[in-house]
Amino acid sequence: MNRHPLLLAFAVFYVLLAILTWSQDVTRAPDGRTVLTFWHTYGDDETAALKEIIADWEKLPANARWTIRPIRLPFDGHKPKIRTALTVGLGPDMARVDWSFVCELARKNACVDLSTLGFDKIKDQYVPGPLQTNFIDGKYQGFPEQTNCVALFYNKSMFRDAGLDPDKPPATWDEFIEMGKKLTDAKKGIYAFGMDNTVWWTLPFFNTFGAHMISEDGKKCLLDSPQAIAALELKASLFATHQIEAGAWRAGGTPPEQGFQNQKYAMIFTGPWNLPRFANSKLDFGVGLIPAGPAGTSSNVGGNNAVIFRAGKHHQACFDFLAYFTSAEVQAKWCQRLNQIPVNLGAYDLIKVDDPHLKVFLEQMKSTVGNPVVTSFEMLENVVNPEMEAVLTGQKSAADAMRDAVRKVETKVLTL
Amino acid sequence: MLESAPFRVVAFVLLIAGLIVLSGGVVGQLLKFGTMVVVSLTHQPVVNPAFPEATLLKELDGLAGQVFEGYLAPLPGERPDVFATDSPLKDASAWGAFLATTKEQFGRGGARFLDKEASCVQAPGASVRLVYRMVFEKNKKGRVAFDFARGETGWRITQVEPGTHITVMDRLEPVVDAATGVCVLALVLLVIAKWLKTPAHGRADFLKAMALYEALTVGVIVVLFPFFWMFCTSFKASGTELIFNEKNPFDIVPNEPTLDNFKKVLKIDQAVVPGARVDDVIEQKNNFSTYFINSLFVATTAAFLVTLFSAMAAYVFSKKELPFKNGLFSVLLGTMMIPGLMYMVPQFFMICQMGLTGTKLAMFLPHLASVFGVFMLKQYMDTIPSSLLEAARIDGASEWQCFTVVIIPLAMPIILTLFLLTFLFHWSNFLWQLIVTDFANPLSITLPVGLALFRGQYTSETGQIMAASCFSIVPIAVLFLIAQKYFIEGMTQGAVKE
Repeated sequence: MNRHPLLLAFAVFYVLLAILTWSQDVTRAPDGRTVLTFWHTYGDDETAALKEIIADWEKLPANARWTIRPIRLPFDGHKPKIRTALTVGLGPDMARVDWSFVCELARKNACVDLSTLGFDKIKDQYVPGPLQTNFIDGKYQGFPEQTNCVALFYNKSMFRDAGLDPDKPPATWDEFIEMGKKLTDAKKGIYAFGMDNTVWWTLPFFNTFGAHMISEDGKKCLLDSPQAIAALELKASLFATHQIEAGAWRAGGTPPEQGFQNQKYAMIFTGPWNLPRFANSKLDFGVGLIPAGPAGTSSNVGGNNAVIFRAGKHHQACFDFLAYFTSAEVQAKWCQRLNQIPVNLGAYDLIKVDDPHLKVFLEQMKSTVGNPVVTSFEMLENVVNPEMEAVLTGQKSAADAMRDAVRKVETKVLTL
Repeated sequence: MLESAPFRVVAFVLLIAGLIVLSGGVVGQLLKFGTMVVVSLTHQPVVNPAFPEATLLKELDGLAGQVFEGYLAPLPGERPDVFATDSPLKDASAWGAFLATTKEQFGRGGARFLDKEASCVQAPGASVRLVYRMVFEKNKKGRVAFDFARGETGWRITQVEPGTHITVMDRLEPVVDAATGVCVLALVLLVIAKWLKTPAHGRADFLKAMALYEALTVGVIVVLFPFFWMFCTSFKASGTELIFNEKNPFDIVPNEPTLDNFKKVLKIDQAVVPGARVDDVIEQKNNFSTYFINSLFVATTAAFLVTLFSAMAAYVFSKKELPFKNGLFSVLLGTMMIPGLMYMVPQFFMICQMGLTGTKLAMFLPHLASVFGVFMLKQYMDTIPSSLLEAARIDGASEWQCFTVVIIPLAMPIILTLFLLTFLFHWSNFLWQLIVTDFANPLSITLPVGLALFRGQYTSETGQIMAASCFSIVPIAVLFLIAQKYFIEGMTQGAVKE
C-alpha cells in the first residue's frame, strides 16, 4: 500500500463517506392511523403553514382515522415524477400540480371526477378563473388550490421623472401608449415597458380584448377571431410602431423582471410572487390593474390545483381534506400568513389586507378568465409562440400568423 | 519587426498599458472580493439593510430640534412634534447648518448631496407631518433619496429610491482602490526593471513572452468570470441578485455582503436540541450538506464500479479470444443508438420490482453497465501491445495479475478519464435521481434534485442556488486537480525513448 498513497487515501475517504451517509437515516414510528400521501411543491414557509393546517384537520373528531403525510417535490420535476410514479403504481393519494397539468392527468384517466364526491355543492365558493382550469370535458377534476395572476407593476420614481402622477398608472391601453411615450428614453436604454412573449404572458392582452383561444367544447382554436388579432396587433405595436417596449422578449434581451429591478423598464406585467423581492431591492414601485381594452381589464390565471388520484383507495377522505384546505376560513388564514390570493370567495371578506399592492391583485383576480384547457399547454406554447414572434418581428401580419397558428393548434395540439 | 528599437519601445508601452488595465481589473476585483468575504464574516448583517437608522436618527433628532423650533411656538397645546405648515422655514441658517451636517453624515464614502424637496404629507391618522426629501448621488451607484419625516414618535427616515447607503464596503472602497493601485504599480515597476535588465538582443523574446502572458490572462478571465460571478452572487441578499451596477456591469462584488444564503442552504440557524421530534430532526437534516454527502457517495460508488466493470469487460473484448466476440461487441455498441430516456420507465419499473425505490443503490444500479465505458477502454487497450501480456505470462503471471499489473497501470489515463466522466454524470443526473427518489424520506435526496428544491414555480432563490453551487463544484475541481497529473503522465508516456 505504501506504493499507492492516493489509493489508500481514496479508500479511507470512501469508508468515512459510507459511514456518514448511513448515519443520516432517521426512522419514523407508525402511529396506527391510515396514511394519506399528499405530494406538493410548496416553498419553506408554505410547507410550515401546510403542516399546521394538516395538524388542525387531523384533530377534528371525524378525521381520527387519517393522517396526512405532506411530501415535497421540486416544482421543476413534479410532472415527470408524477407521470412515472403513476405508471408503476407508486403515486400518491393526492397531489398539488401546476394548473396546466390537470388536463393531461384527467384525459389520461388518472384523477377522480370530483362531482362523484360532492364537489357540486361547494364549487360555487371558488373564484371562477382558477375553478375553470379544473373543468375538463364537462367534469371538475381538481380543486383550485392556490392562485395568482399578473398585474401591472410600475416604477413610481420613473413616473415622477417623466412628469407623470406616480399614483395613477395607465387605466386603458390608449393611456398606456401615451404615458409610455413619455417614459421611454431609448438613447439611455430606458423603456416604458418590458414584456414576455409566450402564450401565458400574452393572455392578459387577449383577455382584455375578450378573445378566446380554444372553443368551449375544446375542439376548435379561435385565435383567428377579430378580437385575438386586434389584441396581438396592439401587442406588436408597442414594440414596432410606438417603440415603447424594449424587446425584452427577444433572445438575449434583458428579461422584464431584471430590467424593472435595474430601473430600465418603467412598467412590466408580473405576479404577486415578486412583491417581496421588489420590496427587498428597495424599489419605489406601485401596482395597477392591467390596462383595460374593449372587454375591460382582465388577466391570466396561474397557480396550482389539487387532484385526487384514482389509484388511491381513500378518495372521500382526500376530498374532505382538500375541501377543508380550500374552505373560506383556512384559505383566509393561509393567505393572511403568506400574503397570497385566496381561491375561495368567502375568504376575501375574512382577510385584512394591509399591503396596497396585494389589494390590487385581489381585485384583478376577480376579473380573470379561465386559461385555455388543452392536454399539453407546453405544446400549445411551442406551436403558438413562434407565430406571435413572427408578428412582433414584422415577418407576418397578425391575421396571417394567427391563421397559421389555428391550423397548427388544431392539428398538433387539439388532437392530443 | 521586433528587431527595430523604436518599434520595440512602442510595443513595450502598449503592453504595459495592457498590463495596467488587466492587472488593475483583476487585482481590483480580487481585493474587493477578499474584503467582501472578510466584511461578511466580521459584520453582522443589518436586519433592515436599507439604512443604519438608529444611530443616524439619534444624531438627526439633536440637529433637527434647533431647525424646527420656529414651528413649535405657533402651535401651543398641540403635540410639539406635529407640524401643520408647508411654508418655508423661517430660520434659513439653522436649516443650512442642518443640511451641512447631514451632508457631512452622508458625505462619507463619496455620496454627493444633490437637492432637497420639501413637501407636506398627510399621514393616515390625519396628523400632518413635514417631510423633507433629500436626494444624494453616490459616485458610482446613482441616485439615492431619503424621506425625513418628523412624526408623533420622532424622526423617521425612509429610503424612497433604490441605491445604496454608505456600507462598510463603501468606506473601505478607497482603501481597496489604493491597495489595487499599489499592486499595479509594483507589477509595472517590476516589469520595467526586468525590461531594463534584459540585454537589447533579448528584448524581442521578452516582449513576446509578455504578450503571451497577457493573452493567457484574458483567456483565464473569460473562463473564470462565470465562477467569480457565482461566488459574488452567493453573498448577495435575497431579492438583490439581479441588480447590477449601472456604470460598470463587470463590478459584481456586492456592496452589502451577507452570509445568509450559506446559512440558509446549510440550515445552520435551525439547530435542533437533543430529544426533538423526529419531524424536526428530519427537517433540520434536510439541508444541503445531506444532499452533498448523498451525491458524493452515489457518484463515487458509481464511478468506481463503472470503471471497474468497464475495465474488466474491455480487457476481455480487447485481449481475449471468445466465440462471436465481434458480433457481441457490435450488439453492445448498437444499444448506444437508443436514447437513454427510452429505458427510463422500464428501468424504474425494475427498480420498483426489486424493492429498491428510494435507496442509494437505485440511484446508480441501472447505469453500472456502461457500454460507452467498455467501448472507450477497449479502444485504448487495443493499443497496448499484446506482447507485454505474453511476456508477463511467461514470467508466470496469472490472469488477474495480467489485468492488475500490466493492463490497469498502462490504461490508467483512460481509466481516470472514465472515472471522471462517470462521476460528473452521476453528480448531475437530475431526471433519473428525481424519479427514483422517495421524497417521503427527504434525507435520501441527492444534489441535483436538492438544488431544484430551491427553485419555485415563479421565483428561484438565486442567492441560495449560487451558494450551494459554490460547494458543489468543489469535488469536481479536486478530482480534476488530482487527475491532471495522471493525464499528462499518460499522454507523454512512451513519447520519448532515452
